[in-house]
Amino acid sequence: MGQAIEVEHLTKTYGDVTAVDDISFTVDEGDVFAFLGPNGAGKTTTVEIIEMIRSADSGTIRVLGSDITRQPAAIKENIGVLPQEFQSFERLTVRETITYFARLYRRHADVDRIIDLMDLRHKENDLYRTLSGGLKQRVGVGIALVNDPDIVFLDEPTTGLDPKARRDVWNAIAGLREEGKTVFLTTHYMEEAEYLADHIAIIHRGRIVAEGSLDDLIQAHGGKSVLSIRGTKTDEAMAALQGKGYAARAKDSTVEVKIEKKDAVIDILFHLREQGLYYREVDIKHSDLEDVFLNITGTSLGEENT
Amino acid sequence: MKPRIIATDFIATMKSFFRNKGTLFFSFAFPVILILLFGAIFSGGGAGSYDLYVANYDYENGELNETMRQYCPLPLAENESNVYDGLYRQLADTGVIDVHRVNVSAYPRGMLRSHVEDEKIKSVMVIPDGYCMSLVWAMQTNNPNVTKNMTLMLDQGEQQRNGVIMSVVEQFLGQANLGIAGGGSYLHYNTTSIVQEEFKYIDFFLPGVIALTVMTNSIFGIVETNIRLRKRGILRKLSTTPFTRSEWLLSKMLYMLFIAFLSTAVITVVGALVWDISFKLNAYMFILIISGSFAFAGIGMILSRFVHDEETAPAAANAVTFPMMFLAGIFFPLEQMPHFLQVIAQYLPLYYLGEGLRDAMIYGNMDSALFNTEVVFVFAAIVFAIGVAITTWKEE
Repeated sequence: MGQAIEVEHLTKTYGDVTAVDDISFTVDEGDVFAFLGPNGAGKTTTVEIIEMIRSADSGTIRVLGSDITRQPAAIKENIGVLPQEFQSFERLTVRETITYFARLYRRHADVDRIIDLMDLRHKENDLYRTLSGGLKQRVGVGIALVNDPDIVFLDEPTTGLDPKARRDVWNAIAGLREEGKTVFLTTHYMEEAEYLADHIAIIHRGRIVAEGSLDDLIQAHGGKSVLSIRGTKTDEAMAALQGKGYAARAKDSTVEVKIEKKDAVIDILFHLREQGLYYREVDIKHSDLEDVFLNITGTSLGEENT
Repeated sequence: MKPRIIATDFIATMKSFFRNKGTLFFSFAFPVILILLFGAIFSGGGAGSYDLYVANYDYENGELNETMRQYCPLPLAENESNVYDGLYRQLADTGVIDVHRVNVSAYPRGMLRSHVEDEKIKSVMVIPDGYCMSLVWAMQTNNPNVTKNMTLMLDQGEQQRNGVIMSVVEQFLGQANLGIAGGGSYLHYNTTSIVQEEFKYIDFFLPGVIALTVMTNSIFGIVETNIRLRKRGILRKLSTTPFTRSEWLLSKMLYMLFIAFLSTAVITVVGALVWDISFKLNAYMFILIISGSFAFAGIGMILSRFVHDEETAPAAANAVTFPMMFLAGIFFPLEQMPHFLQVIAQYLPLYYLGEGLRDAMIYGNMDSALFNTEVVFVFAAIVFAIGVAITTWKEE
């Protein structure tokens, strides 16, 4: 597979503030690439430079093999963009809106197909202004697809949506992968990156601090999973597990054991039973991107977003 | 340039426009309400002061020699060295008349009438040659009839104005006659009419409303479109498509022109139906409206380059349009305004647009229409070029 986007040593400053600090990364063709980071980390600045909305201070960017400063017109025909906080024309219907944007391109996808793909058939003659937030975003994603682009850029596509609407937009985005599109997604929701992305780059204060697949990132930075055992004889269980070499600690009336791999769970539960120690319930907390972010940056993603 | 894209954007803009009742109202109903309202208020003619031109053909030109000082009954102040100074001063002192001198060496008596008609002058006081001497002679011989007649040339279409001027002149001459020992009407005048087309306030006002509509549509249209589309992310979105900024601008200008001509049509039809105004349609009118639209769109582009905030932008547009509306002689003829305001008006593009449209559509004064068209055209070319140059879709 080739590389859809190659970014080398990209830097952008606003006055004294370095918004993007010498970052380099590549996006493989056909991947859903998530740019994950808190608000103000430099996500939108980066993606808008790639989309040619802003100019870089330094660095080179190639999109579909072409330098964006050399062949902007050719690249524009082949990318589809949903800008951050995009709101389309108030007084055009869904169908008119999609048709409008389709006609801006030399080659464009069938409007009906886009309407079906985004599940907008029942709303196609409604004015854009009357749509709910989730529907508006689906129109926005649809607009980003009108030229049948090779790369789709979605900048914070679900910000401000309720969970149901967010899930609908996610399904629409997941559908793009089936279509074979390369998707460049920026988000500050870790669930979004977890749910959608093949490849995740975590950006923090203008720098990419970690990059890889979800599994890679958790493996490298997530720390261990934790098995919690409740409703047991705490001291005896602790002693038994520590005796077997597990890192166990008591927290209130719960025993928490760090585990390396899933097999360990069976081993631990078997060992407890062997010792005649019963328990009311167990649960396993796997580490997630939140832990990855916390471990790398020392702050939580949720806190930085607020 | 891709006509397909421009057509697509133009059609989408039109759809949005006709679906927005607020915009529709302000584009069409507002100017109509304005002309109906002002037409009704001022149908009786305006107040304020009137221009009176004095053509003084007295060959002595009132030069003050001893005989004159002794016998001339025209009241003079100490420092006045010409018998006519007192006349001019007293007319001006009434507060309702602005006295202007006709350059009599450029326009001898035989050419006065055509000069007056060319310049649309509405009232002229003519002092014949030898007037002062005839007055002195009349007093010496106690024969008031010997005094030559002053002549008031009055535009018969301006009954109200004529009434004011005649009463002022009569009052003045009456005072002067009273001052002459022995009494008798030594000073008298007759009137002749200036044959000009009859124009009313609404004739003056209506082209002004067209100019005003062109201005507000263009400035607010460009500023609000820019601010709204920028805020909604549509400009950012468009900058990632093959749609170029110049194509977009062209589409928006087509839209502005469409609105401008539609408003003009509505205003002229209302004018024709309600006041029976007969408009002259000619090339100047079209060039003026097109140039005006570009000029004010240019101002709108400059404004929206510097004012990004959605709340501030309309205020900035108001700050430009509102004073211009009142200072450019749209509602009232400039001659009724203080001198310094008349000077300011000459620096305002709206003034030339309004004057030009009046000349072209109502007065049929083509020389003046050409001049005004040239001013608006040149201004439009410069301002629009600046606007295009500084407008960008790129973010910082």
